[in-house]
Amino acid sequence: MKHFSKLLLVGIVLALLSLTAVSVLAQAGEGGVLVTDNIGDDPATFNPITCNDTVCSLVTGWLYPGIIGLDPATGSPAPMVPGNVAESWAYDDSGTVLTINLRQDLAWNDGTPITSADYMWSITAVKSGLTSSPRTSMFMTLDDGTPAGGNITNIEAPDDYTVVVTFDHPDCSSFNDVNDLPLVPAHVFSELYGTDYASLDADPLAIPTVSFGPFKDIDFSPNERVSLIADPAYPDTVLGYVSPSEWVYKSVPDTTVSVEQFLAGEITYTGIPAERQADVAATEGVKTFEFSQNGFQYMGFNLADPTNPQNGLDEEGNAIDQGHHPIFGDVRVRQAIAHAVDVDAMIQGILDGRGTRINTHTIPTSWTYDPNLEGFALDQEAALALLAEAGWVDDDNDVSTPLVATEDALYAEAGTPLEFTLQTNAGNLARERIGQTIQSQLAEIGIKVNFEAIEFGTLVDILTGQTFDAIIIGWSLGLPVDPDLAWAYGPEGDLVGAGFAFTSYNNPVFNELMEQGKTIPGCDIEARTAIYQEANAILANDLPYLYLYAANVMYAAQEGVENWDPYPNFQQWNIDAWSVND
Amino acid sequence: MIKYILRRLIQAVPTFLGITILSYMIMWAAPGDPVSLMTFDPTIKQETKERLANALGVNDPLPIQYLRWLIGDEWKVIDEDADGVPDERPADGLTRVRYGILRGDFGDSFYLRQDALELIVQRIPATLELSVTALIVSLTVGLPIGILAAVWRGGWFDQFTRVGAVVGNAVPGFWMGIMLILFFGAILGVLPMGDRGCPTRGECTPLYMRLDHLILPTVVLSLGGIAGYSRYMRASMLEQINSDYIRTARAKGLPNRLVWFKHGAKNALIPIATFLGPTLTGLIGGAVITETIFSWPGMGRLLVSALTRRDYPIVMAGVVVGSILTILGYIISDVLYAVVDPRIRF
Repeated sequence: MKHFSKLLLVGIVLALLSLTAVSVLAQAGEGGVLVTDNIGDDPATFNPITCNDTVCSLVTGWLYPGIIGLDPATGSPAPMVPGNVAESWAYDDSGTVLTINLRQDLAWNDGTPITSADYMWSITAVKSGLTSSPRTSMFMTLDDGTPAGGNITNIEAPDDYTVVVTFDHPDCSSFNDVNDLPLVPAHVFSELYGTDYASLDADPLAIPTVSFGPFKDIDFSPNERVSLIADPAYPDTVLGYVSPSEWVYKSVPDTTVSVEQFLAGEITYTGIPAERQADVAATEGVKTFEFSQNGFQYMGFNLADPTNPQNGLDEEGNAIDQGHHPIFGDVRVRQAIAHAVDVDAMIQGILDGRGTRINTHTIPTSWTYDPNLEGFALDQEAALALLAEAGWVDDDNDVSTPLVATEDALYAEAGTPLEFTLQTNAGNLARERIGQTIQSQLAEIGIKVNFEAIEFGTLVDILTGQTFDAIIIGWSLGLPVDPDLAWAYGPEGDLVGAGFAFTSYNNPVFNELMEQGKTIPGCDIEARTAIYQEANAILANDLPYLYLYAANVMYAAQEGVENWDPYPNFQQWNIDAWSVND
Repeated sequence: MIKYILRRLIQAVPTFLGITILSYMIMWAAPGDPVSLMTFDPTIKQETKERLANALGVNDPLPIQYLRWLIGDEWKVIDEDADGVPDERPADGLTRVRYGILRGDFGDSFYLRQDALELIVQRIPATLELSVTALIVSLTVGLPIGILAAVWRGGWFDQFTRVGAVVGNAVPGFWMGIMLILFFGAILGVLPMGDRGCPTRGECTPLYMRLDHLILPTVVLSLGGIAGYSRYMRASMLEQINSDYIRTARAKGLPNRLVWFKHGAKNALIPIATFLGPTLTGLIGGAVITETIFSWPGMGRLLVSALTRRDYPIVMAGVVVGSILTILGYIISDVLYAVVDPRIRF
């Protein structure tokens, strides 16, 4: 009887287990085909080491794990994030040695355990300087001694599940560099490429045979689509199995066609451009998720002489006299413009209210955001008073003609009309409308704006060449949030033809705050927040940019997509749980 | 005839070289630079940008860049073991020995990192699929319209097709494409809004199984051809109708149908033959826009994207393919003229 009871128990357990297995088998890979749109180019490569654009990043992101994952709910680095291998990490007391402990329960889909050797293969390849990877920027020097501009001096793996990163100096921003490279299956890559890292570029579209992610087996048709199928071996799933059978990244020419294809049901999920958000949100049969963009739009001023662009620093690190822009060299003119431009009306008119005004280089979702920081209020009289103080007057009492400079103007010759060229990239409807709005609003205070929408490549040339007067463009801020802004406003980043500090803004107090913010012992968040808020207050007053708005982003999916649960900036975090019901 | 063709081919060589020099200079002088576009990312340091620029060779003077593209650069590197890899390892994997377009090496795409010519050749079947269909539609619709417009000269059909031809030539393809997508794809939902209609995985199905995907892009691409051919054919047909032999045929009592279609149209087709060559080139040029709008995976889309990215090797490969097609198109036209018109002898 005793044996019978035991047998009965075992039988029941086995039956339950088999039922569960049958149920899982019935659901795994039966969630249907997920189709999303690719309005960019084809992926340049399927190799995660040399990948350098969002298109290939999205594809390789399904196939290779990262080392430190970002929590989709917060956007901050977190241990044990599915699809990533870091279990924990810690800095030493000097703040220059970071030890990362890896999870020991993960394996590639051929059964080989994922270890530190897989991360080290990527690191060694890039540090060799023989690949086309732009991620050499994370290292201080490459293997051949060439300076690479980064802060990491060494990365090593003392054992299979530990990685130790050594930095040249404490720099809280350098933490993000560690995550620039994913892990690759070292046992496969070593066999394929050996130590001939240059050969990684020989066949960029080589299809990976071993991977770790919810999807596998790339099927690529140029200018048509990339398709991957579910990988049942992927362990880091939400439901215990990968639900969708296939993921298709379909080439679409532009957002107009992409939205129409989505509404016609040809695309399962997509991002909706600002001009279509209202009508898509009101459409039956689709569900939407709206949030503030992790970036912003702005009008950048050239503060230096645009006829003779110079770097911010010479080779010895000494400041170079860059001259002054005749109009924007004077902060009062920039402040007058801030008083005259109605950003709230812009948000209402261009975005139908779907955006948030910003006053400095920080958006409300950033941990350095200061809700008490006020911008310049809309006030034409204050604008005109500031212009008069700066030496710009209406000499003919005719509001239709621009103001002219008097002898009091700081950098403009007397008699110079208050007129400048404002440029943006053609095809970006929101930016074109921003330009037209600024043009008409500044005309009301006697500033003549010659607005041009030009091709993007040409705009980049003018922008980095620093020959512009003013420019409308935007920044995507990336994740995790890095509040260091030296690249945009510091003299080191002020490189003609290459740097991003193209406004030539140079404020020693701001520069010092940037230095303090990234070297603060222990990277204490509270102390850093205070520092970056002070720095952002300086920007809000000095206005190297006229900060405009962070537009809302909208994700949309067909009503029948189950378990679609997007977070801001992480629409697809649980894609392995999605299923499509027709 | 063979001597004539050979002479034309020899004459085409300086033309071709001239086109390449001009195109290279225009491309080089145009604003925008590939490295800035590839590295428009604040996290990429200046050192990396310089390495990339050196590896791509875009820092070299224009004549060196052109010569490398034309005749290769093995004269610049030491490769004692002749394995195609410089003995002194270049800065990164983008650099290899180049043999120049005269030896069939069009260089590697800056962005896609694959052989530029191979990328174009991969996409030619899709482009031909669309272009040939559009050519057939242009001829089969445009020529009869032209004949009938000439026969009914001054009538409502003639007036209607005249206006239609002006509209067909004047309406920009990109606008027409978007309108057709919105109307037939989005509003009526009767035709697909783009792509070639291949399944999401595996080989593409035969064309006859996805003809619906071909309808809208073909309409856009053939519109100009229909307009042009109908007007050329009308003019040519009118010339024939006023000829003595047509008057004689009608005087002999031949039925109008025979006079117009058997005698008139046959001879009116002779000058049309001269348009065939340039039409082929025009169709491939037009496909650049049409393919982009309809997500058609041909070489047109590749070229548009290469232009915006300043991907010089692909742009120049496109120029070379386009120039060769144009030159050959004109030679074919001239030869065809001699073939169809016995009065012409070279």
